[in-house]
Amino acid sequence: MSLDDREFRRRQRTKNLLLGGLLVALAVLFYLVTLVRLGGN
Amino acid sequence: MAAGGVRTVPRSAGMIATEVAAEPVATPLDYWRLLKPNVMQLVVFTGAVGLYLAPGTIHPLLGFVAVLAIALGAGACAAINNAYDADIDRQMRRTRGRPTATGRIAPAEALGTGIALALIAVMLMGLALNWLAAGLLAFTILFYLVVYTLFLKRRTPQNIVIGGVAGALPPVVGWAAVTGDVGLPPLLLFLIVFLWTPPHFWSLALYRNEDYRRAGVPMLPVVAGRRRTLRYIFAYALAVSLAGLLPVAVGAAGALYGLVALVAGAMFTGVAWRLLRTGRDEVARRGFRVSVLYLFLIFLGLVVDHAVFDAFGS
Repeated sequence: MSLDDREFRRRQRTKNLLLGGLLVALAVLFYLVTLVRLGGN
Repeated sequence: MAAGGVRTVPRSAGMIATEVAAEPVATPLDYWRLLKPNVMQLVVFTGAVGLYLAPGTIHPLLGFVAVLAIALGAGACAAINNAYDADIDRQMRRTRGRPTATGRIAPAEALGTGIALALIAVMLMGLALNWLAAGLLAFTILFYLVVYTLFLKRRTPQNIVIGGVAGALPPVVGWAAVTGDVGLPPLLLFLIVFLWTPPHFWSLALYRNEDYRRAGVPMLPVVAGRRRTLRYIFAYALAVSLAGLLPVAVGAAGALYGLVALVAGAMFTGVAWRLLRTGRDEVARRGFRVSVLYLFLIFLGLVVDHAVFDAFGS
Protein backbone atom coordinates (compact mmCIF):
# COMPACT_ATOMS: atom_id res chain seq x y z
CA MET A 1 0.00 0.00 0.00
CA SER A 2 1.53 3.31 -1.08
CA LEU A 3 1.69 6.40 1.11
CA ASP A 4 -0.98 8.00 -1.08
CA ASP A 5 -3.22 5.02 -0.55
CA ARG A 6 -2.74 5.08 3.21
CA GLU A 7 -3.55 8.82 3.27
CA PHE A 8 -6.62 8.18 1.15
CA ARG A 9 -7.89 5.51 3.52
CA ARG A 10 -7.03 7.57 6.60
CA ARG A 11 -9.09 10.48 5.31
CA GLN A 12 -11.93 8.18 4.39
CA ARG A 13 -11.92 6.69 7.90
CA THR A 14 -11.83 10.16 9.48
CA LYS A 15 -14.77 11.22 7.32
CA ASN A 16 -16.77 8.12 8.25
CA LEU A 17 -16.07 8.56 11.96
CA LEU A 18 -17.04 12.23 11.83
CA LEU A 19 -20.24 11.45 9.98
CA GLY A 20 -21.09 8.69 12.47
CA GLY A 21 -20.39 11.07 15.36
CA LEU A 22 -22.63 13.74 13.85
CA LEU A 23 -25.47 11.26 13.40
CA VAL A 24 -25.19 10.10 17.01
CA ALA A 25 -25.14 13.75 18.16
CA LEU A 26 -28.26 14.42 16.10
CA ALA A 27 -30.04 11.41 17.61
CA VAL A 28 -29.13 12.59 21.14
CA LEU A 29 -30.34 16.10 20.28
CA PHE A 30 -33.71 14.79 19.05
CA TYR A 31 -33.99 12.72 22.24
CA LEU A 32 -33.27 15.76 24.45
CA VAL A 33 -35.70 17.91 22.47
CA THR A 34 -38.36 15.24 22.98
CA LEU A 35 -37.71 15.25 26.74
CA VAL A 36 -38.01 19.03 26.90
CA ARG A 37 -41.15 19.12 24.75
CA LEU A 38 -42.83 16.35 26.74
CA GLY A 39 -41.77 18.08 29.94
CA GLY A 40 -44.14 20.90 29.03
CA ASN A 41 -41.52 23.63 28.59
CA MET B 1 -2.00 11.98 -7.82
CA ALA B 2 -3.44 13.00 -11.13
CA ALA B 3 -3.80 16.60 -12.21
CA GLY B 4 -6.87 18.53 -11.09
CA GLY B 5 -7.05 16.75 -7.76
CA VAL B 6 -8.57 13.54 -9.15
CA ARG B 7 -6.80 10.65 -7.55
CA THR B 8 -5.86 7.52 -9.41
CA VAL B 9 -5.67 4.44 -7.22
CA PRO B 10 -4.64 0.89 -8.08
CA ARG B 11 -7.22 -1.75 -7.17
CA SER B 12 -6.36 -3.67 -4.03
CA ALA B 13 -4.90 -7.18 -3.68
CA GLY B 14 -6.84 -10.06 -5.17
CA MET B 15 -8.02 -8.00 -8.07
CA ILE B 16 -6.50 -7.39 -11.43
CA ALA B 17 -4.16 -4.47 -11.05
CA THR B 18 -5.75 -1.74 -12.99
CA GLU B 19 -6.11 1.98 -12.60
CA VAL B 20 -9.45 3.50 -11.71
CA ALA B 21 -10.28 7.11 -11.19
CA ALA B 22 -11.53 7.87 -7.70
CA GLU B 23 -12.95 10.99 -6.14
CA PRO B 24 -10.50 12.87 -3.97
CA VAL B 25 -11.34 12.57 -0.29
CA ALA B 26 -11.71 16.01 1.22
CA THR B 27 -10.61 16.88 4.75
CA PRO B 28 -13.12 17.93 7.45
CA LEU B 29 -11.88 21.48 6.95
CA ASP B 30 -13.04 21.33 3.31
CA TYR B 31 -16.55 20.40 4.45
CA TRP B 32 -16.48 23.24 6.96
CA ARG B 33 -15.44 25.67 4.20
CA LEU B 34 -18.21 24.29 1.99
CA LEU B 35 -20.68 25.78 4.49
CA LYS B 36 -19.20 29.31 4.10
CA PRO B 37 -18.64 29.88 7.84
CA ASN B 38 -18.18 33.65 7.44
CA VAL B 39 -21.63 34.08 5.93
CA MET B 40 -23.05 31.62 8.47
CA GLN B 41 -21.69 33.75 11.34
CA LEU B 42 -23.69 36.77 10.20
CA VAL B 43 -26.86 34.75 9.60
CA VAL B 44 -26.59 33.07 13.00
CA PHE B 45 -25.93 36.39 14.69
CA THR B 46 -28.98 38.15 13.20
CA GLY B 47 -31.16 35.08 13.74
CA ALA B 48 -30.07 34.79 17.37
CA VAL B 49 -30.79 38.47 17.96
CA GLY B 50 -34.30 38.02 16.52
CA LEU B 51 -34.78 35.13 18.92
CA TYR B 52 -33.44 37.10 21.88
CA LEU B 53 -35.60 40.16 21.24
CA ALA B 54 -38.83 38.17 20.88
CA PRO B 55 -41.26 38.45 23.80
CA GLY B 56 -41.74 35.28 25.82
CA THR B 57 -39.36 32.61 26.99
CA ILE B 58 -38.28 29.26 25.67
CA HIS B 59 -36.20 26.48 27.17
CA PRO B 60 -32.47 27.19 26.63
CA LEU B 61 -32.07 23.89 24.76
CA LEU B 62 -34.84 24.89 22.34
CA GLY B 63 -33.19 28.27 21.88
CA PHE B 64 -29.96 26.50 21.04
CA VAL B 65 -31.78 24.19 18.62
CA ALA B 66 -33.41 27.18 16.89
CA VAL B 67 -30.02 28.84 16.36
CA LEU B 68 -28.54 25.51 15.25
CA ALA B 69 -31.35 25.05 12.72
CA ILE B 70 -30.73 28.55 11.34
CA ALA B 71 -27.00 27.75 11.10
CA LEU B 72 -27.68 24.43 9.34
CA GLY B 73 -30.06 26.20 6.95
CA ALA B 74 -27.35 28.74 6.11
CA GLY B 75 -24.86 25.90 5.64
CA ALA B 76 -27.29 24.10 3.35
CA CYS B 77 -27.66 27.20 1.19
CA ALA B 78 -23.89 27.60 1.01
CA ALA B 79 -23.25 23.95 0.09
CA ILE B 80 -25.86 23.90 -2.70
CA ASN B 81 -24.76 27.32 -3.95
CA ASN B 82 -21.16 26.03 -4.06
CA ALA B 83 -22.30 22.99 -6.03
CA TYR B 84 -24.16 25.10 -8.59
CA ASP B 85 -21.60 27.89 -8.91
CA ALA B 86 -18.42 25.79 -9.06
CA ASP B 87 -17.85 26.91 -12.65
CA ILE B 88 -17.89 30.63 -11.90
CA ASP B 89 -16.12 30.19 -8.56
CA ARG B 90 -13.15 28.73 -10.45
CA GLN B 91 -12.84 31.94 -12.46
CA MET B 92 -12.84 34.33 -9.51
CA ARG B 93 -9.81 35.02 -7.35
CA ARG B 94 -11.94 35.42 -4.22
CA THR B 95 -13.66 32.06 -4.61
CA ARG B 96 -11.29 29.83 -6.55
CA GLY B 97 -10.05 28.18 -3.32
CA ARG B 98 -13.53 26.86 -2.45
CA PRO B 99 -13.58 23.06 -2.19
CA THR B 100 -16.03 22.64 -5.08
CA ALA B 101 -13.97 24.99 -7.26
CA THR B 102 -10.75 23.09 -6.59
CA GLY B 103 -12.46 19.73 -7.08
CA ARG B 104 -11.78 18.46 -3.56
CA ILE B 105 -15.53 18.08 -3.08
CA ALA B 106 -17.56 17.00 -6.11
CA PRO B 107 -20.59 19.20 -6.91
CA ALA B 108 -22.89 16.16 -6.50
CA GLU B 109 -21.53 15.55 -3.00
CA ALA B 110 -21.93 19.23 -2.10
CA LEU B 111 -25.50 19.08 -3.39
CA GLY B 112 -26.23 15.96 -1.31
CA THR B 113 -24.71 17.54 1.78
CA GLY B 114 -26.78 20.67 1.25
CA ILE B 115 -30.05 18.82 0.77
CA ALA B 116 -29.41 16.70 3.88
CA LEU B 117 -28.59 19.79 5.96
CA ALA B 118 -31.67 21.63 4.69
CA LEU B 119 -33.97 18.74 5.60
CA ILE B 120 -32.40 18.36 9.05
CA ALA B 121 -32.62 22.14 9.67
CA VAL B 122 -36.30 22.41 8.75
CA MET B 123 -37.28 19.22 10.61
CA LEU B 124 -35.37 20.32 13.72
CA MET B 125 -37.02 23.73 13.70
CA GLY B 126 -40.48 22.27 13.14
CA LEU B 127 -40.26 19.51 15.72
CA ALA B 128 -38.42 21.46 18.42
CA LEU B 129 -39.98 24.92 17.99
CA ASN B 130 -42.94 25.45 15.67
CA TRP B 131 -43.90 24.97 12.05
CA LEU B 132 -44.24 28.67 11.24
CA ALA B 133 -40.53 29.12 12.00
CA ALA B 134 -39.78 25.92 10.07
CA GLY B 135 -41.85 27.15 7.12
CA LEU B 136 -40.06 30.51 7.13
CA LEU B 137 -36.71 28.72 7.28
CA ALA B 138 -37.69 26.47 4.37
CA PHE B 139 -38.87 29.54 2.42
CA THR B 140 -35.54 31.29 3.13
CA ILE B 141 -33.53 28.30 1.88
CA LEU B 142 -35.67 27.85 -1.23
CA PHE B 143 -35.67 31.57 -2.01
CA TYR B 144 -31.89 31.73 -1.77
CA LEU B 145 -31.39 28.68 -3.94
CA VAL B 146 -34.18 28.96 -6.51
CA VAL B 147 -34.77 32.71 -6.83
CA TYR B 148 -31.25 34.00 -6.14
CA THR B 149 -28.85 31.24 -7.20
CA LEU B 150 -30.76 29.71 -10.12
CA PHE B 151 -32.59 32.71 -11.58
CA LEU B 152 -31.11 36.03 -10.51
CA LYS B 153 -27.39 35.69 -9.89
CA ARG B 154 -26.30 35.18 -13.49
CA ARG B 155 -29.07 37.23 -15.13
CA THR B 156 -29.56 40.65 -13.57
CA PRO B 157 -27.73 43.32 -11.59
CA GLN B 158 -30.77 43.25 -9.28
CA ASN B 159 -29.54 39.81 -8.14
CA ILE B 160 -28.44 40.84 -4.68
CA VAL B 161 -31.26 43.37 -4.23
CA ILE B 162 -34.04 40.79 -4.61
CA GLY B 163 -31.85 37.96 -3.33
CA GLY B 164 -31.36 40.02 -0.18
CA VAL B 165 -34.77 38.79 0.97
CA ALA B 166 -33.17 35.47 1.94
CA GLY B 167 -30.38 37.09 3.94
CA ALA B 168 -32.85 39.37 5.71
CA LEU B 169 -35.20 36.64 6.92
CA PRO B 170 -33.14 34.96 9.74
CA PRO B 171 -34.16 37.52 12.42
CA VAL B 172 -37.80 36.89 11.46
CA VAL B 173 -37.19 33.13 11.72
CA GLY B 174 -35.58 33.61 15.16
CA TRP B 175 -38.51 35.73 16.36
CA ALA B 176 -41.09 33.26 15.01
CA ALA B 177 -39.27 30.39 16.72
CA VAL B 178 -40.13 31.95 20.11
CA THR B 179 -43.50 33.58 19.49
CA GLY B 180 -45.04 31.43 16.76
CA ASP B 181 -45.97 34.59 14.86
CA VAL B 182 -44.41 37.58 13.07
CA GLY B 183 -44.79 41.10 14.47
CA LEU B 184 -43.58 44.56 13.49
CA PRO B 185 -40.15 44.48 15.23
CA PRO B 186 -38.80 41.48 13.23
CA LEU B 187 -40.13 43.06 10.04
CA LEU B 188 -38.09 46.17 10.85
CA LEU B 189 -35.02 43.96 11.32
CA PHE B 190 -35.85 42.38 7.97
CA LEU B 191 -36.03 45.84 6.38
CA ILE B 192 -32.67 46.88 7.87
CA VAL B 193 -30.83 43.78 6.60
CA PHE B 194 -32.64 43.96 3.24
CA LEU B 195 -31.53 47.58 2.66
CA TRP B 196 -28.06 46.85 4.02
CA THR B 197 -27.35 44.01 1.55
CA PRO B 198 -26.92 45.97 -1.73
CA PRO B 199 -24.34 48.54 -0.52
CA HIS B 200 -22.48 45.73 1.24
CA PHE B 201 -22.14 43.56 -1.88
CA TRP B 202 -21.74 46.44 -4.34
CA SER B 203 -18.76 47.72 -2.31
CA LEU B 204 -17.24 44.27 -2.67
CA ALA B 205 -18.14 44.16 -6.37
CA LEU B 206 -16.41 47.51 -6.93
CA TYR B 207 -12.99 46.31 -5.86
CA ARG B 208 -13.55 42.79 -7.25
CA ASN B 209 -14.96 44.12 -10.49
CA GLU B 210 -12.53 42.20 -12.71
CA ASP B 211 -13.41 38.93 -10.96
CA TYR B 212 -17.11 39.37 -11.68
CA ARG B 213 -16.53 40.58 -15.22
CA ARG B 214 -14.34 37.54 -15.99
CA ALA B 215 -16.91 35.15 -14.53
CA GLY B 216 -19.76 36.89 -16.36
CA VAL B 217 -21.72 37.68 -13.22
CA PRO B 218 -23.77 40.85 -13.93
CA MET B 219 -23.04 42.73 -10.74
CA LEU B 220 -24.00 46.41 -10.86
CA PRO B 221 -20.45 47.79 -11.46
CA VAL B 222 -20.02 45.36 -14.37
CA VAL B 223 -23.34 46.23 -16.01
CA ALA B 224 -24.05 49.84 -15.05
CA GLY B 225 -20.53 51.14 -14.49
CA ARG B 226 -18.70 52.53 -11.53
CA ARG B 227 -20.29 55.97 -11.29
CA ARG B 228 -23.84 54.69 -11.13
CA THR B 229 -22.89 52.02 -8.59
CA LEU B 230 -21.38 54.67 -6.33
CA ARG B 231 -24.62 56.65 -6.41
CA TYR B 232 -26.67 53.54 -5.61
CA ILE B 233 -24.36 52.61 -2.73
CA PHE B 234 -24.78 56.05 -1.21
CA ALA B 235 -28.57 56.00 -1.65
CA TYR B 236 -28.89 52.58 -0.01
CA ALA B 237 -26.47 53.48 2.80
CA LEU B 238 -28.57 56.55 3.55
CA ALA B 239 -31.78 54.52 3.35
CA VAL B 240 -30.53 51.80 5.70
CA SER B 241 -29.20 54.39 8.14
CA LEU B 242 -32.67 55.97 8.30
CA ALA B 243 -34.36 52.57 8.52
CA GLY B 244 -32.03 51.80 11.43
CA LEU B 245 -33.83 54.52 13.41
CA LEU B 246 -37.29 53.03 12.84
CA PRO B 247 -37.19 50.66 15.86
CA VAL B 248 -36.94 53.76 18.08
CA ALA B 249 -39.66 55.58 16.13
CA VAL B 250 -42.16 52.76 16.63
CA GLY B 251 -41.18 52.17 20.26
CA ALA B 252 -39.53 48.80 19.68
CA ALA B 253 -36.18 50.04 21.04
CA GLY B 254 -35.01 52.74 23.44
CA ALA B 255 -32.73 55.76 23.44
CA LEU B 256 -29.56 53.73 23.93
CA TYR B 257 -30.18 51.85 20.70
CA GLY B 258 -31.15 55.13 19.02
CA LEU B 259 -27.74 56.57 19.87
CA VAL B 260 -25.97 53.49 18.50
CA ALA B 261 -28.07 53.60 15.32
CA LEU B 262 -27.30 57.30 14.83
CA VAL B 263 -23.55 56.84 15.24
CA ALA B 264 -23.42 53.65 13.12
CA GLY B 265 -25.62 55.23 10.44
CA ALA B 266 -23.45 58.36 10.31
CA MET B 267 -20.38 56.14 9.95
CA PHE B 268 -21.90 54.06 7.13
CA THR B 269 -23.34 57.06 5.26
CA GLY B 270 -20.06 58.91 5.77
CA VAL B 271 -17.94 56.22 4.14
CA ALA B 272 -20.49 55.85 1.32
CA TRP B 273 -20.28 59.61 0.73
CA ARG B 274 -16.48 59.46 0.66
CA LEU B 275 -16.70 56.56 -1.78
CA LEU B 276 -19.06 58.58 -3.97
CA ARG B 277 -16.61 61.49 -4.00
CA THR B 278 -13.42 59.49 -4.60
CA GLY B 279 -14.53 56.22 -6.22
CA ARG B 280 -11.29 54.63 -5.05
CA ASP B 281 -10.89 50.89 -4.47
CA GLU B 282 -9.40 51.29 -1.00
CA VAL B 283 -12.45 53.34 0.05
CA ALA B 284 -14.69 50.59 -1.37
CA ARG B 285 -12.79 48.06 0.76
CA ARG B 286 -13.30 50.30 3.76
CA GLY B 287 -16.97 50.63 2.84
CA PHE B 288 -17.30 46.86 2.81
CA ARG B 289 -15.72 46.56 6.26
CA VAL B 290 -17.78 49.44 7.65
CA SER B 291 -20.97 47.82 6.33
CA VAL B 292 -20.21 44.67 8.33
CA LEU B 293 -19.45 46.79 11.39
CA TYR B 294 -22.71 48.73 10.87
CA LEU B 295 -24.85 45.61 10.94
CA PHE B 296 -22.97 44.24 13.93
CA LEU B 297 -23.42 47.50 15.88
CA ILE B 298 -27.12 47.78 15.02
CA PHE B 299 -27.93 44.25 16.20
CA LEU B 300 -25.64 44.48 19.21
CA GLY B 301 -27.25 47.82 20.05
CA LEU B 302 -30.68 46.19 20.02
CA VAL B 303 -29.47 43.41 22.33
CA VAL B 304 -27.84 45.79 24.82
CA ASP B 305 -30.82 48.15 24.75
CA HIS B 306 -33.18 45.23 25.40
CA ALA B 307 -30.97 43.87 28.22
CA VAL B 308 -30.77 47.29 29.89
CA PHE B 309 -34.54 47.70 29.60
CA ASP B 310 -35.04 44.25 31.12
CA ALA B 311 -32.67 45.01 33.99
CA PHE B 312 -33.82 48.51 34.87
CA GLY B 313 -37.22 48.92 33.26
CA SER B 314 -38.35 52.04 31.39
